[in-house]
Amino acid sequence: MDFTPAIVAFCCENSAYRAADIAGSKKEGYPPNIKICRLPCSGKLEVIHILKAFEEGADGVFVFACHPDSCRFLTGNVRAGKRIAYVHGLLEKIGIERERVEFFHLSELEWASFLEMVRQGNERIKGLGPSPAKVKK
Amino acid sequence: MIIAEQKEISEIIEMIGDHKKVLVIGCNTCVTVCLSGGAKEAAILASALRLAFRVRGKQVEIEETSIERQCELEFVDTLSSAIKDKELLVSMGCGIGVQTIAERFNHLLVVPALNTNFLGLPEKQGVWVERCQACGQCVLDKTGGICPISRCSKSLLNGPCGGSQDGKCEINKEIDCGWHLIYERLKALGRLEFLAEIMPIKKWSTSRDGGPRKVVREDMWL
Amino acid sequence: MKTGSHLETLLGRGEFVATAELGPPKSADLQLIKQKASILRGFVDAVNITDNQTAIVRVSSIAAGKIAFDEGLEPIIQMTCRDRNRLAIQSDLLGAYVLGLRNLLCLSGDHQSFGNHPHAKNVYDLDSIQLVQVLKGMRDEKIFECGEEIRNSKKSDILEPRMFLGVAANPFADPFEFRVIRLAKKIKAGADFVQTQCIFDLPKFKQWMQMVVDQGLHEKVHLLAGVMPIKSYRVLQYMKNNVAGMSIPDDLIQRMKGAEEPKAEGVEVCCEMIRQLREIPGIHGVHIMAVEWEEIVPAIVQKAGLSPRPQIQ
Repeated sequence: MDFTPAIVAFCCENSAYRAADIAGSKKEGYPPNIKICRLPCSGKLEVIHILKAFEEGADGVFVFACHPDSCRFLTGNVRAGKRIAYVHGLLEKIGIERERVEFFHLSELEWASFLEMVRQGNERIKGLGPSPAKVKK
Repeated sequence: MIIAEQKEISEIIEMIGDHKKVLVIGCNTCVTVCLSGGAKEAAILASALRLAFRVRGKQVEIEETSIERQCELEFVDTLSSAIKDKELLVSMGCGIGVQTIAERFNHLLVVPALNTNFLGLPEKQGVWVERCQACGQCVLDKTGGICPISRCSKSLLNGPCGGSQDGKCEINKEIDCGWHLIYERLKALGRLEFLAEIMPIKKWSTSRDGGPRKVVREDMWL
Repeated sequence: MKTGSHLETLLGRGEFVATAELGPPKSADLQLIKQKASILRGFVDAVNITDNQTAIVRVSSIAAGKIAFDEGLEPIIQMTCRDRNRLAIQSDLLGAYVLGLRNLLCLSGDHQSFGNHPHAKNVYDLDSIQLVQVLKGMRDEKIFECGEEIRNSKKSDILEPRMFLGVAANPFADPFEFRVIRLAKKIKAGADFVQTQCIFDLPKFKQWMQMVVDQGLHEKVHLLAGVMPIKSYRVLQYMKNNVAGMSIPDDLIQRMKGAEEPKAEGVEVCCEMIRQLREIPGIHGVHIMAVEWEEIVPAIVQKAGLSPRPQIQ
């Protein structure tokens, strides 16, 4: 099945957003179906943002935060982790695979890791197929 | 404040059934503080429901809004235009809110998204505990400010019973023995004499047992 | 003499009494009640008939008590506050009295979450202290809780129920120093006799008794010390870990663990305790709680030197 998933990647600007910037300038870059959404901190991410992404047609949502104990605002990444855990539970209850939402940790220098994580994540979402909540035409 | 918790989303989905135009209504007072039915939670529930119905292949329009308090008619009235084309209202208020909306818009089915639990407060972020049973006959002056009706599992007035151990209630080690707390508080206040007297038998008729209650202040009538 | 009950008469005479317990069956098993009664008959002065103990549904105390009474026992009916409001309490009391029953133990009652119907609504219209007050008021002031006289009509005779009233006391629950104040309240409310929670920790019990004696309470009420024969160390272990309001010394558990014949050892431990409790001033009897082991009571009564029981002409 030739399916290109629509993926939103919420990137903390203190880590992954910068890594993504560098990665994007490299020859291979990251897949064009990944839309980057900048956050001042992963802790700014709310449950509703992830749900809205799925409402808008996303097949997968990635969240990139700083490494544990490295959050510039101390506990933003911890809060993000808790909200993602909540979303996982909620998605399961409504019939959407929890694997469509993934949580990654990065520092701003790790552009190569960013590329790898995003590419592998993309393959995983491809494997899941289109989101069951996509509006059927 | 009133503490309530969201029902399982599967239960709410079942309540909506085959209705096609739904409004989810949040409440900005008590249920906002206990993180179960405020504007934020209404947005999340509405979005989750939209996704859920899409997954089930059903066409359902779900909108959301939130009002200051669902227990006051002047705020409920502000919903008049939002409910115009709706078939079913999902109230995220406490039981009072659900009933007020149902009474005001009595041509529509109104369903509860929450289970109303008790009167209490947040002990810390994410933990809410019961403090009052609304029995209509407050004796907190005699018990050092700790309520025996709500904090003793047996609502004893002359406790503790023989099951109090290490300050905990016999039914669950996580529950403080209300009478142990009362004893320690009165001891610290130097007022143990309150416990020497036998507390008289309670008039439960001022509580729910006497039937649905009403308070009237004629001097306040307009 | 307040009631003329057999128990009251013996205590009034200064006898060291022995009481036991009979647990009614969990089914409509009339024969079992009669069988348990026949085991205990003649060996003890009175028998507690438990009331939905640990919130498990059993034949009611009054019904089983009446059967035991007909089989020749002196029953002590138990009444908890958990299952009855003040109407049922007073009504049951009148019922027990007209059936010929004369002793009643007033209890708060284990919370229903312990038993087999944890979702039941609990009542606790009264607490155990208020219960004593109400029943004493029925006996001595001859009035119901609402203040009305106990008579059929203004022209009828007052026919009040006269029960000998008991309460439970737990010397081992917390807060320790408050326990005696609460006992004083129960006595003030009208308790005639007290049965304590079963004693395994004699030093702690003696501490409590000292506080009781200091307050002069031993002269205002008849104190019966509770004992329980143990079948195996596992029972002690279970109670230590799971039952609130008990004090069980580790060396007792060790002793039972090391015993060659645990049941015989358990009987021996119980008899030793009875003999020691008898020496304590202010103790007017023992209450033998052989839970679901009623058959062992005759042996204990005999080995502890409590046999034969006094007769009333």
